[in-house]
Amino acid sequence: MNPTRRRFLGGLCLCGAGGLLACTPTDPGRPRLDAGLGGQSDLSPRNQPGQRHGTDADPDAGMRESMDRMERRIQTSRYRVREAKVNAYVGGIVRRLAGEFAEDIRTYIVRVPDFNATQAPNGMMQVWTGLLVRCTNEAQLAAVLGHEIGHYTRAHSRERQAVWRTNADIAQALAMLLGAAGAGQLSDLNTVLLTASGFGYNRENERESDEIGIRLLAEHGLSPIEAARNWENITAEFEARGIPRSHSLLFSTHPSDEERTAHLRRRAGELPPGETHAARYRDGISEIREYIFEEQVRTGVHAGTIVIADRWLAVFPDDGLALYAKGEALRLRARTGDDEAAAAALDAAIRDVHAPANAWRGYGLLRRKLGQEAEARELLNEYLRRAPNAPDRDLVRRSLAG
Amino acid sequence: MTESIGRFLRVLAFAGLALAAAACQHYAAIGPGSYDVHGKIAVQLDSQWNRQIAGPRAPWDESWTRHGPLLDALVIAAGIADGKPLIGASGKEAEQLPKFRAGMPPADLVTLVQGTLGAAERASDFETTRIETARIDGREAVRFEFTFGTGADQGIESDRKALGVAVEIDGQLYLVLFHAVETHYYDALRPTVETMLESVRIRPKKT
Repeated sequence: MNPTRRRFLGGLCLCGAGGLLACTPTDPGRPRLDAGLGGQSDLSPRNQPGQRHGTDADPDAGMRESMDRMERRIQTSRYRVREAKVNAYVGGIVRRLAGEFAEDIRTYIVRVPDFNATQAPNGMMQVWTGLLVRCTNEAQLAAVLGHEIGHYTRAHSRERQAVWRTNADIAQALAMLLGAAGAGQLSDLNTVLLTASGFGYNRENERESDEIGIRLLAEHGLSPIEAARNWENITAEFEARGIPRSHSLLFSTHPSDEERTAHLRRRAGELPPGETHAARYRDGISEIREYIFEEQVRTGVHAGTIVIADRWLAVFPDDGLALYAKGEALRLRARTGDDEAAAAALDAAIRDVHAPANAWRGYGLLRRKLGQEAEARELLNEYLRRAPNAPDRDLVRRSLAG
Repeated sequence: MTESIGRFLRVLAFAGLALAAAACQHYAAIGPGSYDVHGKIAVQLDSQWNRQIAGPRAPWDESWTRHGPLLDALVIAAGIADGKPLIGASGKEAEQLPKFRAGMPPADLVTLVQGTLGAAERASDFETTRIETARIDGREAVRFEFTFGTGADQGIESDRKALGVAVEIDGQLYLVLFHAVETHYYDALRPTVETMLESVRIRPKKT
């Protein structure tokens, strides 16, 4: 394993490429669809449809080049989800929400099991599989996608780069002046304050994008309250995992989850109610649902998997994949009482046509553990019948022959 | 606000210390020859490896590398008790790592290894290619291979392959896991890893 033991699961948002990617993990305006945000007159686009930035020798050229390189890598990446239907579905939502910017934003679904989507200033949007497994309806996904579109139309990455450049220039000039005035020891504090102001700008961008996202939901007949539910769901997941979500007044790049939830709830109350389209969502991502649930199980974050599965089961009580994920997470966690709950979930899972072969294996292994060998053999035989090329087939066959 | 600034300055100070520490040695050369892991696993090395000597460690695990952890890594965990994670981690991170359970079926052990890699290395897209029985030090063990990737979330992808052998003795798990970049490094180092696996001698001790 990497001896550096990198920090893991440190937060929802892991913006790469030097922070050039604007990402999901943002409060507030007060107003309505056609009104401004927090005193701003409007949230009209700063980008123009079809506009390509950084093509000249301007400060954005390097950023553009860097993002183009990243996009070329993603196009051929092993992580890219290539299944046609889910790409058409997710890409279709982005196009509808993006409106006149539909041709400028290119969507890539990427196999990373965390809750996130990112928007690069060149138009590349990444949607992580961990986001798809955590949403249970189209409105929840659209809230995140609309938020990312907001980053693009408002040119947040370019603006942020400009702010950081200006702050760096100011810090340098102040440091020289302070040094000349014999107060060079204060130059570090000066840098800290300017850095903090940069983070404050990030938070304001996130608030703008949250507002754009929730307005887009309302404009497209989707339920605005689902934007708030995303944050409530994430909070519940982190609580179940025992991870506190810290928030620094000065140095957070995003507003706190509580602030976002409260604001989005208030805004949803001011906007027309819409549809969630849960069934349409489940069908739209059906090609990769088995993969994303299996991917979530394999994270080994059992408490999180159970919360996610329960969320799906609240909408679709007989969903074989969600039942499998819940049962398997309980079986693998194996705390007191988990075996019984796992058996109930897996028993229900295998009654659904969408249950994966691994549900029979998990249930068989559990029955064996519980001393119910006859039932275990039946289930494991069914597993082999459904997954004849499973990587552990020889081991399972051997255990059945013994 | 003052508290936040203080915290930030502490972070800066810590980062400075970390940089200073980075200038020091993080690895110690081991091999060729015999090598003992926590008095519980003995191996013969046909060449030199670099053993990590800094960073959080559990009393049962060691990490080695030949060319640097971004290219290849070998983890030996000797005697993981029921309810413990495969590797050491600090504080809250350790709580989030998946745990070994005595009596785990082979496929579950593979899931445990993959979950640990996912948490510790942000690895993803695991595809198990083989799980089979093997002999290690005359004992029946499970041997497995899988592919995975790292760095997808950072835009710096690395496709990797892994080979592992695990055996449970008296409720404790003994694990050797090798993983490396698929291009060149995995195939180049596999023979020396196979030779090392053949030399493994386990000395179970109750803790």
